[in-house]
Amino acid sequence: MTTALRETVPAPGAAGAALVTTSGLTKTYGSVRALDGASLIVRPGCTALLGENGAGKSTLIKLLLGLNAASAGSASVLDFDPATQGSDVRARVGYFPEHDCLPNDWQAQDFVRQMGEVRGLPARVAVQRASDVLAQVGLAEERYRQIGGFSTGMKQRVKLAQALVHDPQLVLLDEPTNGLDPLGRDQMLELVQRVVREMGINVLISSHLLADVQQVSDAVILLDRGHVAAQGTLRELLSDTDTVLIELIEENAAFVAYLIAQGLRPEGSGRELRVALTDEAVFDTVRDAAAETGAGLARLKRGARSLEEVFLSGTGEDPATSGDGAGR
Amino acid sequence: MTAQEGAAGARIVDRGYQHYGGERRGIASALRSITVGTMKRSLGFKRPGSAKVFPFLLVAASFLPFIIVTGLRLLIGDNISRRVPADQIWPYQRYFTWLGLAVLLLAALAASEALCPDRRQRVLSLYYASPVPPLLYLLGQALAVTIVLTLVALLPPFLLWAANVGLAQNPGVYLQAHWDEGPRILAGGVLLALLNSALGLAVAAFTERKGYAAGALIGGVVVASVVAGIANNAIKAGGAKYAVLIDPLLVGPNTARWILGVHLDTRVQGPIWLGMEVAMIAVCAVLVVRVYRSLAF
Repeated sequence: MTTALRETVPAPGAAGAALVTTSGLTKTYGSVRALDGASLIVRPGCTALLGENGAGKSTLIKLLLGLNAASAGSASVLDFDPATQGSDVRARVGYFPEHDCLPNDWQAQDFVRQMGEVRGLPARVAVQRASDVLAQVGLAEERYRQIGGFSTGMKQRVKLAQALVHDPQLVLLDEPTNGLDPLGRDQMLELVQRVVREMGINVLISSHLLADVQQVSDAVILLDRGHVAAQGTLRELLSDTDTVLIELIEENAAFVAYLIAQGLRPEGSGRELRVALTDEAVFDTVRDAAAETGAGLARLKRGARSLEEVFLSGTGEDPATSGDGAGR
Repeated sequence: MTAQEGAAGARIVDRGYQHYGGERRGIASALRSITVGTMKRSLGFKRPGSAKVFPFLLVAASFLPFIIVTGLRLLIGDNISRRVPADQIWPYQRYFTWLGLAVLLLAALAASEALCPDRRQRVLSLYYASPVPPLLYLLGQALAVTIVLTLVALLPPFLLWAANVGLAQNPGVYLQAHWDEGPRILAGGVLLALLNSALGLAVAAFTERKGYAAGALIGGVVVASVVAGIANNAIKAGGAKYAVLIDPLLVGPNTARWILGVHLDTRVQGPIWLGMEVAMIAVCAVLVVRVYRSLAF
């Protein structure tokens, strides 16, 4: 792996000062090492914390919020040490838990206002910002309704609103699309993108869904059984490979035979083929094959790795055989 | 979403997200927010109508003697009774006995409302993820319950005392003779509120369900009261007289009566009642703190 940097060498991600850094961060519960020497950097923008259930994502979030003490290693969040300055960290960070955490018999407006006040907003400001933030997440009309009557999607929006009400520098979103139907999921991911791009708030999103991560994040930290298996920007992680991807309009046996006759070894079947990119002349050979056999070329490009491949190689699984792992 | 009408009729319908660069307050402000929020909810504000009924009835019941006595004195004058002076129609010690049950029932409602929903609905995780330390959250809830109970345990007898001063034929002379009753009522009321608040919170800390917490508190007090009564009457051993000290319905009012300087018709001395009340409050406080320290985030 050339682009996915190992945990001992934090990735040179996007430009900008680091929001979060950890070095050798370890958390053990008895004999279980939930986090095992994690060293990572989170830079401005949207960073995804990707890993299967039990990979250590929630443990890392708790350590970053200063809610649990690390067994070893150190962390810095917005230049504060969460172990000794947890209160300072939590005043500047918003938190969206994975689990249900909303009081059913409260009005959304009252609840978000109260969360603003406990995070330091003056009472009058908290009222105004609660209204504004609920409007930003699409609950302007419903803000005086009791939360217990909300749909799952609306509740997730209230959770996002309470995480934003005090205008944090960084928001930690723990599985924000959990329990949502496809439409609700898309809307939540759009909201997350708006938080980053329009509101200018940095996001660290924890997820086990590759598609979610790929849709919203600029950078990815891959956690596997407590280790940082890979990290870097999406561009780095999904870099080109030494293959050429050929997509035909329709299957053509003569085309394949021509490539073999020219010394190439096409892999795949049907309309999608891959050949090794030994030198740039491979592109000319493919072009000639199409011309000679009359095959229609739909696409010809240098192959790139998918996030799924990055995930599987990072976790040491064989991409060809694995069917489990993080959700696709 | 905001809409501002301009001079030419132009409207801003969406300002977009606004960053906040103004004042940020410390944990004292957060503590006030938690306390005020729980006080309001304990009394039924911003809650469905059914949640307002019991708090309203209990508060009304606690003020009833004050309203009746003061109302009669205002309407009829001081000749309500030939045998009892007007300011002794409803003595303060009787008021505290009357209030004992009302404060206990309100404690069952307020303490369970303060602690149980936040744990059951896991809102606690959001408070813990804020700058508010867990013990400060607990302090805010305890303050809220105690203030609500103080409203019932202190205000009615204190207002009755103030009315007795104000309606006396010569208020200045009456106040000179009875000034010490004010602070005594204050001390008795606050202690009664503290005791019931501590008991209610200690019970509520052990369950996530409001109904269980309220039921356990009321049931526990009833059982303790019955056991204390049986032990006190049935056991002839010398130490059996102290069995009454486990009855919370006696501890608060009797301490208040002793503070008021009234002779106690029990075999246990006043300072022992006070000591028991302080011990109960301390034990409950330690219990609540221990339970919340053990709660995982």
